[in-house]
Amino acid sequence: MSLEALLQRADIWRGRSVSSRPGPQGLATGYPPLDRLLPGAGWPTNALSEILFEEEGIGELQLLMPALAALSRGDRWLAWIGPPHLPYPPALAARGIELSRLLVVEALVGKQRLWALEQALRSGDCSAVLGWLPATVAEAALRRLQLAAEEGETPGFLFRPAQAAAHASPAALRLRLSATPQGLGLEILKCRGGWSRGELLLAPDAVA
Amino acid sequence: MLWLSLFLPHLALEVFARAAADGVPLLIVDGKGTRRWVHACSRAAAQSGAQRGMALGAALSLLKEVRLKERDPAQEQAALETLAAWAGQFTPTIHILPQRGLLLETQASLELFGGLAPLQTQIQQGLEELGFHPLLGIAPTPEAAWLLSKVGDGRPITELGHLPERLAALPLIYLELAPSALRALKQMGVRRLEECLRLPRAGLAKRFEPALVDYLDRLLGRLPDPRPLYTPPASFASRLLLPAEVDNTEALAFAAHRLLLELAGFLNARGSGILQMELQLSHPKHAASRLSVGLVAPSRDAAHLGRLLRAKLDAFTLPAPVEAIALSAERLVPLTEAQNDLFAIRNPHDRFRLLERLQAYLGTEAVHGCQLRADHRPERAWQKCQPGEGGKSPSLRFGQRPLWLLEPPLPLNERDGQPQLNGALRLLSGPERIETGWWEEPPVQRDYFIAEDPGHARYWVFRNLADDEGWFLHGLYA
Repeated sequence: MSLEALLQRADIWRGRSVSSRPGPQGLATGYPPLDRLLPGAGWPTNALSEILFEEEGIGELQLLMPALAALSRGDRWLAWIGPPHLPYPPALAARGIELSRLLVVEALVGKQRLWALEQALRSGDCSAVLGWLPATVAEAALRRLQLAAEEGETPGFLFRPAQAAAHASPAALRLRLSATPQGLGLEILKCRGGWSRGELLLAPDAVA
Repeated sequence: MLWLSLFLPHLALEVFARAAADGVPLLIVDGKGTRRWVHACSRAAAQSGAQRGMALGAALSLLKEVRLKERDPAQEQAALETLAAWAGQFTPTIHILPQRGLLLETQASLELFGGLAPLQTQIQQGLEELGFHPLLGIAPTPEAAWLLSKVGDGRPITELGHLPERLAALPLIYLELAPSALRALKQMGVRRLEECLRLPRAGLAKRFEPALVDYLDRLLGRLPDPRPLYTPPASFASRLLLPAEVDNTEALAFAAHRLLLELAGFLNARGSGILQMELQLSHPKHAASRLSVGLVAPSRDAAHLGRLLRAKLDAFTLPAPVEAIALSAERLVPLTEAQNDLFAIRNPHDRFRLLERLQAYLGTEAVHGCQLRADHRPERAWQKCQPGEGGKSPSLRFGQRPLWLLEPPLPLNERDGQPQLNGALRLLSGPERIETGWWEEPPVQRDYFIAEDPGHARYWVFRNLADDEGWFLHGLYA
C-alpha cells in the first residue's frame, strides 16, 4: 500500500488537515479557496460564525453575499438584527438577494439585540441570521446564542470589531478580516473539526 | 339526550381566587351594616378555622393575615357566561342556571370526543386550568343531572330506566322544590325521593302545587324539559378582579393566562381566530392602561397568544398598581384547522410567528422589509415595507452600489481638493453623474465616485454640484 493510499483512509486523523473529519456539510461560501480551508467545505450550518474586522468597508459583508443569495432563494427569512447602517436594497438585489426574504430588525439597546438574535436563531424560521455585536459580550450570552443556533438549526453570523479576538467565544468559526493592497486578508482564528489556522487572500475583483 | 351538569359550589370564591396563586387566606363576605357573615372562605382560611356562615368578627379573630372581598353576584353571573362561551367548544347546546351552574347537552358530541369519559376529563381539566372546581353530574334529563352534580355523584346515568333506582336515596332537601312543599312533605314523614315517588300521583296533584308533580315528571323523563339555550356573543370580553393590587408584570401574567385560556376556548367554539386583542389594566386612581397585540396571521393557539402577550407585558412599565385586568377581542376571523400536507414540514403561517414575537417586544416599526423604487436618487431608490413584500419591485439596473447606505450622507473634510476620511481618499472609479429634473425638490446634482482610504476600505462618495460643492460619504462597500 502506498503512502498516498494510506493517507487517504478515513480512519486516520491528521492533526492539521480539515477534510479527514467527517462532519456536517457546510454552506458553500462562493469562494473556492475559502471552501477548501473550512471544515464541511463551507460556513457552519447549525452554529455561529464570527467575522471580526478592523475597519468597516473592507468587504466584510460582501464575503457573505454568495451564501446569502443562495439562501434567499429558499422560503425562510434572512434576518438582519441591529445593522449599524442601512442595508442598501439595490446593492443587495444586484448581488442576488431576494428582497422578499429580507427581515430588518432595528434593535438599538444591547439587551434587545441579544434577545432578538436569540429569538430569530431559535425559531427555525430563518435561513440565516446576521447580528452586530460589540467587542465585549458576556460569554454566557454568546453561549445562549450558540445553543439557539443549534436548536433552531440556523446559521448565525456575528460581526464584531477585531478587538473581540482577545476574548473567548463559543462560535464554531472565527475569522479575522484585514484589508491589504492585494485584496482582503482572511485569517481563521478558530474552526471546529480542525486546527487549521489558515490564511487566505481574496483578490480585489472577487470582493466588491 | 345526555345532559352534563356543572355545579360550581365555590363560585363566589373562585371569581376572585382564580386570578392569583398565592396562599393568602381569602374571605368572601356577605350582608350589610352590622350583620356581616362569611359567605365563602378559601382553603387557607378554612385551615385556620374559618367557616361558612360564621360572623365576620369571629372569622377575623381567627386569622392573622386575610383578604376580604364583598360577594359580587354580577361577577359570578359574568363568570358563568364566559364559561358558557368557553364550553361552546364541546357542544352548542348550553343552558345557564343563573348564579349556580351550567347544563351541557352532550349526546351529539360523544363521538367527536371519543366517548363520555374522555369528554368528562377534558371538561374537568379545562375548567381547572381556568381556575374553577366544578362538580359534575351526568344523566338523561337536565333536572336529574343537576341533582347528581349537587350531591357530588359523578357516576353517569345513561339510561332513563336507571333513574328511579339511582336517585332513590336522595334526601328531599336537594330537590328543586318550593319551601312550602318541602315542609309539607317533611311533615308527612317523607324524607327521601323514593318515598315521594311511591306516593299516589293523583293525591300529590290534589294536595300540592302542580309544580311538584311537573318537577317529578321532568326529573324522571316522563315529560320533556326544553331549556332556553345560551347564544354566545359575537366578540370576546372577559374581566378578572385581582384579589390584591399587583404592581409587577410577573403576577399579572398568571391572571392573563387564565383569560387567554377562556379566549382560546371561545375561539375554538366559533371556529375562528383573531388578528388583534387588547389587554386593559385598571388602576384604582389612574386612567386604565391598554396593551394591544396584533398578529400577522390569524391564530387561536393559546400558547402562541400567551407568548405574544408575555412579550408585550415584559416591555411595558406599569404606571400604577393594577386592580383588575380585562381581555377583549372584537373582530373574529374564520380559521379552519390547517391541513397538514404530508410532505410539508412547516406551516407557512409559522413564518410570521417570529415576526409577531419581534414586533410585540420591539414595536411594529422596528421590524420591516425593503423594497426597490424607481428613482435615480440613491436615497430614494428603496423604501421600507412589510416583511415578505419586497419581491414586488421594479426591475432596475444600477451601477456598482455599496452594501451599506448612510442616511443622511456624511460631509467629508477636504484638503487640496481631495476628500479626507481616515486619510486622503483615492478615487478609483467614476464619476457617475446622478441628476434629477428641475421639477424635483430638492434638486440633486451629484458626481459619485468609488474611493479607497489608506486602510484599503472602500467608500461611495459624491461631490455635490448643486449647492455648496462639498464632498460627502454616502455608502460603504462592506
